[in-house]
Amino acid sequence: MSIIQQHTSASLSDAWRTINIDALDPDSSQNFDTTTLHPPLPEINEADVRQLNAQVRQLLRGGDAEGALRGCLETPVYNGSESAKEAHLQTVTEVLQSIKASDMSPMLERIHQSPGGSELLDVLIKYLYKGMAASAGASGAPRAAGSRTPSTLTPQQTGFSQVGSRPGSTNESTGAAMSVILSWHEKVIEIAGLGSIGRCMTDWRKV
Amino acid sequence: MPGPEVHHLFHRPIADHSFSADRKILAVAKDSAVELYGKVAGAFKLKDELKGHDKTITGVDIAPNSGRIVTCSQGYKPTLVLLRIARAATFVRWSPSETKFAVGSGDRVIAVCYFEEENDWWVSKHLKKPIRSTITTVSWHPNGVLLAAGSTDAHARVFSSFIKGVDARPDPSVWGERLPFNTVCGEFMNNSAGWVHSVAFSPSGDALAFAAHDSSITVVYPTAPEQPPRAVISINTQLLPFMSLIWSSESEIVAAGYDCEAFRFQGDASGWQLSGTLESKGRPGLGDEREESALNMFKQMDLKGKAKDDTQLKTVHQNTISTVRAYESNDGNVTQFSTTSTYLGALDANRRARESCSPIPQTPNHTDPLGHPDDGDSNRRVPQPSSSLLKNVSTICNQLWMGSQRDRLDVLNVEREAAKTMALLLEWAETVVLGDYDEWALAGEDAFWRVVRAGRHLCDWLGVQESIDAMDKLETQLADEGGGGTWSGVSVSS
Repeated sequence: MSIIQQHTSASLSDAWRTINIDALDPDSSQNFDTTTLHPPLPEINEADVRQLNAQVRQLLRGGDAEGALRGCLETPVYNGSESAKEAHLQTVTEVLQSIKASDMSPMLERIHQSPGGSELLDVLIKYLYKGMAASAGASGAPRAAGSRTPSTLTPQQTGFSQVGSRPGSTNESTGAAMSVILSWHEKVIEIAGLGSIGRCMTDWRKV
Repeated sequence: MPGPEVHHLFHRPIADHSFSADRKILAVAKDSAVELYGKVAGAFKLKDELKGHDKTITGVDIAPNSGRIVTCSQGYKPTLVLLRIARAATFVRWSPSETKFAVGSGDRVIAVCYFEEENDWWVSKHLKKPIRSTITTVSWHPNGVLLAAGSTDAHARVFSSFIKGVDARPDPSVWGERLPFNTVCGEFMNNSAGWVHSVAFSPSGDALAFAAHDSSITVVYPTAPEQPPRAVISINTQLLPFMSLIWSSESEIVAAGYDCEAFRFQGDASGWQLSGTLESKGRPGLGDEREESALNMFKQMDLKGKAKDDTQLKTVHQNTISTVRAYESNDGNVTQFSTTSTYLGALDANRRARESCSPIPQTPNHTDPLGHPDDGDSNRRVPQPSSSLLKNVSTICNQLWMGSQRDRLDVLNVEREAAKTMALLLEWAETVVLGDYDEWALAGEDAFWRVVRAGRHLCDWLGVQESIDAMDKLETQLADEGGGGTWSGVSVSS
């Protein structure tokens, strides 16, 4: 191939414009660990999650649903194994399902008014979205050990009726779980505003 | 408080704006030009247009005392200031001393530009570490040395931009005592770590506020250098994110953004809270609802399928507010402020965008990258020659660059060639401008003919026979006259 041909084929096409120049730049964000930008978070392992789950259940049995909700939102599993994260989602879902629809708004309002409450609701939003993802995927491939077991969920009447089953959610209880999550979502957004959705999306701490 | 003044300038997004010190001139970034509006009888009239950028302008700032205007854009081309950045410039602000300005960029640097007497040129120094991502905003401390910057790596940082010979040594402050260039005086982020959209020092300079994409604003009160700040207060709001914020006093911040209205925050080192909106509801002109006659209602139902037209927001701005600026201040307290918004009347903007997309419409001769003005004055795109040689050369460079942008997919190396020619042109122009007039006479023909040769090069490069002929004629003429003024006419016509 002559030099002219090489030159034309390389420079006439527009392909060079798609070169990822960030990959060639040693200082670019591709070439350093972005997690180093943030302070490290405490690691929470599965044993901690189980212990918390026991405490939360005790509060629920004692009738202190608000305390149970606060308890599990105050210690989100940001840095932990996948199974620890799943287990904590399980705890949160249990609490959410045990609270009556009529209690939701007043309880959220109280939490929001308290110091640091807006942060707690942001955590709740994160778990709601995680719960939606889990419910949507639950009927697909069976999950790994330690994943949620839908049969143990006891759906409550929330005022929302599930209209038919969505494709991909063949299980009755996943549908009910989704219904609970959706009604919580509505109530949380009423109180915490659209800002909390934005925060959930921008936040680097994922549950 | 009087109601807001609303001036609707055009149907395009406004990336940035700036008022002159007497508030009679308003500079607005519109696409790739800066438009200057003068206030005439309560309304803003278009006075002048500054062109020179070929890409979207991202920032504009008027220095209050000297009136100098600085702009920055996404594009790059030889300019009068050497920024030495390889990516888009995103934000620009004059320092309070007006002897330098800071340009944020996508190249993970802030270029601090100042005029160097020795070289008689604007040069820049880079603030580099520890920036990890695009700089979205910068803001100057009242002392003109400290610079706050917000970045998409979610950090708000305070740097020293001290330049020897330009700045006086600043008094020690809470931010630091010794402040050599690129000292990092503070690095802050909030809990959820969104992109930082706006930063601002309080009027005293002892506190820093920043707004991030997580709908929060954060206020930092530092204690002393190398010490943790005595208070970092984050206010998470229920609103959409803020794009811009200013301090109206030590205890009040005004922020505005995606919610299309400005909000007021009040507080001090012990705590801050959102205290409401600045928008007075029921502004005349927007609030006036049409008479609710039954006929009107049915008409609306028929036309739009609903009785009430809710396509307009109740706020003054109908789209995201991109910039908030202090307009008038009184004893250090800002009493009026101006906001601009990315007002997109969607249809209108699309129509206009399509219009402006047709590349260089009336170029009669396609082989001629400049759009040749000799053969008739049908070509509006080439401005009339002015008496300033630099301006003419700049016009030529613009045309060259525009031509190369148009042809870049069809012509091999056209961008490189254009850049080369532009560099040559600038060099020639400099030769003429910087040549002292006395020196000119002494050096005689030599320097002069070098410039004429430059013109010949240009004509040859263009390959337009008429111009080459004209050049021949002019050369003989110029030999008799020998003036720079005539030359500037030549440079445009060629």
